[in-house]
Amino acid sequence: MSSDIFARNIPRLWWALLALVATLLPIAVGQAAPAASEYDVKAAFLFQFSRFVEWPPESFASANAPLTICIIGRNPFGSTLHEISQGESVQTHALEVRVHEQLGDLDGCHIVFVSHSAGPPASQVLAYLAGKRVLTVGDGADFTQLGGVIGFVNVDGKVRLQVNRNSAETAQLRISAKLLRVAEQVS
Amino acid sequence: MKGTQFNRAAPESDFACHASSWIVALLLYLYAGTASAELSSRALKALTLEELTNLEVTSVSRKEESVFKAAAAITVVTNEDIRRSGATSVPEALRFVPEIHVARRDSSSWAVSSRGFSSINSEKLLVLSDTRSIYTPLYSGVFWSVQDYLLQDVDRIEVIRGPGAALWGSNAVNGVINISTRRAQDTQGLYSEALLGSEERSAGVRFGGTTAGEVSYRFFGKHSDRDSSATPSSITQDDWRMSHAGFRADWEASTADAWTVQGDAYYGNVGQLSPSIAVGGRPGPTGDLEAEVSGGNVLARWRRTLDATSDIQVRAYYDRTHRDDQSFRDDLDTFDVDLQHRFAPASNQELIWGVAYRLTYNQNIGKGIFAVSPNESTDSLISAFVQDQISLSEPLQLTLGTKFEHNDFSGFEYQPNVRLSWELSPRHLLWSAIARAVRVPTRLERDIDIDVNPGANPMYRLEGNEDFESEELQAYEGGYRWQAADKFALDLTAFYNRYKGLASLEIGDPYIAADGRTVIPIINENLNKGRSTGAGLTATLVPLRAWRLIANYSYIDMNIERGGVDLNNNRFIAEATPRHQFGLRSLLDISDRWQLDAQWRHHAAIRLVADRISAYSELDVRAAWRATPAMEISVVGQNLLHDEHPEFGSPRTRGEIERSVYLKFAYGI
Repeated sequence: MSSDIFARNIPRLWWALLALVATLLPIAVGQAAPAASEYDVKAAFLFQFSRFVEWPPESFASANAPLTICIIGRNPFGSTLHEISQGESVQTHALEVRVHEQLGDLDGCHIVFVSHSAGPPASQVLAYLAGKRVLTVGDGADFTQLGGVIGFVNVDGKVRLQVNRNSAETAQLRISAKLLRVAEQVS
Repeated sequence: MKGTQFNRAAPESDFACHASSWIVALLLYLYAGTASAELSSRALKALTLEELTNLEVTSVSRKEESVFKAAAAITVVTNEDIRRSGATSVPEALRFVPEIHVARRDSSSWAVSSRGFSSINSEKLLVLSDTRSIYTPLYSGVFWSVQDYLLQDVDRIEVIRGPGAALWGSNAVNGVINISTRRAQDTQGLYSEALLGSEERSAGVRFGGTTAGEVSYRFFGKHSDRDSSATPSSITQDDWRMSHAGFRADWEASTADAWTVQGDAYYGNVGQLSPSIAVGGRPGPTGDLEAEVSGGNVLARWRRTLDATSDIQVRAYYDRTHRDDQSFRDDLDTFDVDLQHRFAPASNQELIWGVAYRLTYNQNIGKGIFAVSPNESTDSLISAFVQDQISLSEPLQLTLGTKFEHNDFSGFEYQPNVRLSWELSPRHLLWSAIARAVRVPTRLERDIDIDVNPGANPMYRLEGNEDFESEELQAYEGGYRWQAADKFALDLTAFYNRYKGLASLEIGDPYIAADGRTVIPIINENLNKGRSTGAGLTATLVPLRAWRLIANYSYIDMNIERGGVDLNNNRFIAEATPRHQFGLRSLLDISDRWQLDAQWRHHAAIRLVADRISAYSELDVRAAWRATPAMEISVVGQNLLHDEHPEFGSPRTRGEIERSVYLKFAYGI
């Protein structure tokens, strides 16, 4: 049968050829384009926010108190946010990442990321944090409309930022011009 | 590998001969891997704000959220799950989904079933690939061997256990398997893999790019070659080869419009241990049995986002399959168009409705004893569905839906369901559902035409039955999900199913043929009925950030009663699914570069009418090394606990699954 010939005689050549093509192609074509998962990028943003936002000194219990990034609801970052923040500090404040379910646990948080899933709705979180010195971050264009400080919006497969400066002022946060430059400002 | 002593030695010596060329290949690989396709956390935090805003991202979390809240028994097998399982085919990737029974009958065929009724046909399970049905209407089932994907580009496999007919339509009786490939945006750049193993070898390449007009695309190709299983009692062999190539393009024409066009084609030779069709008392085809298979499809989809809560989608495809073996030659052409619209009629409601039309043209030319009559058949299917998801209160969601369809086999069908989910807290969810679903008659059940003892008087004739109706399911199911922080998660489901009008082979009313002989027809009737109860459990424990343990357990108790003679012992299908199945997976990240994964499974004994297959346990182990950020080298040992073991089929038709090992290079991961 023709397939027998194929199976028993051709493989040697066939496989050697395929292996050669599969191995040589990477060299020929060169570098693959980098891509990252959506929440890896968002985790990196959260880390950067700790550097480009200034909190009033009263928001820290002491000079050595940690700068706390909290997630309310389910953690969409996997281990990425923990890994990025590990061993990092902003001035004298070590970064700390916590995951919470209850609004009452958010006291002492400097950044609160409001997860889409398995948590109180964003409006409730924002109402609870109103007047507190907290950088609120969430997903979607409506997050800043609801009074959140920074919103992540997906545009053309990229993560873009929206900043509500009124909310930032109310929370007594100073947002660096570098961060404002890459963000869309909404009110 | 081959059955006889002589043949068994051959591939191994082949393997040894090739070792030297593969060492050269390995060295080339080590040189090649310099590019970075995935960013480590170290790289991520080094990115500036500008760089972050310009980075292309892939979206992976949205589905997880919907899975937690879904009022259905749903499990998502992700791309990473597939890779870390070491699976090299879709059925193998489904082995650790609770309530799913995967049993490999021989090298190229699998019995994949959900909630019972295990058989090679898997007729009560609907399988879709990027929304295209890959379920054959000839005899209801999936030829798994031709679904030979480049698994790296499979985004996920959604497995819904229980009826999904209200959304997906007929034959989604006991489950739906939805294979989704990645968007072209997410498969940019070069990926290549080569796999060299004691039982199989394969190589695959994909290249993805983006045109100036912002159209993302990819092209891919794969060839695989699998050895025969262990067949001590058979002279035939089931080794097989498959070649597969295709493309996908995604284009976001505007912020509101998204287009997808994709297509692929395959060709293969599949060795068979026994003929596709065997009739008791009639000699079947002999000699080296082999099916020549080929097929292809093109699919286009357009989606327009109307506003935040509404969109409209139109999808059409054409699919062609060809199969030629010693029992028949079968050609099937399918054209399918589907429209659906989602909107919010009120602030607490989301409504989806849709209409679809499918036209199939089948030509089946029997060889030897086998025939269907008529040879050619054109059949159409018209369907409409509507589903309304209503938030009764913040934690309480009610889903009402139904599908109506008209098909040329059983006429009008309705398949409604009611689902309720109750979010006790953000981490606890209870759900329940009641549904009706049907399995429509197949072409064989309607049109088969075989003389069992030609020339004799009276003559028995296996005949199609125009009056054969759909098999019906009334299903009751419920579940509980618990996500305890990030360390522990639990997913528990239970079901009670009642089946009416299950197929059984019966003796019809005798008649006098034109030549004066008496013909006793043997026909399919809907005389069996049955019930099943069962449960599925998945528990995920994360003792360390780098270590995940996933346990699953499935229980099924099934009983089918005959209402007639049940000549072909269809009632015994109740015993073809193991009553108990256990699985345990351990996924360990030893370091950034090393992964060590193991998976162990146990299946209770099953019985296929007269043939018993003993309980067995098996173990797979995978070690992977990230040689460079873009390149992974892995070694996988499969079925390590036995030299060979049977999983399904009678001693005459089955091949035993052998212990195997493979080495895989993947670049561009």
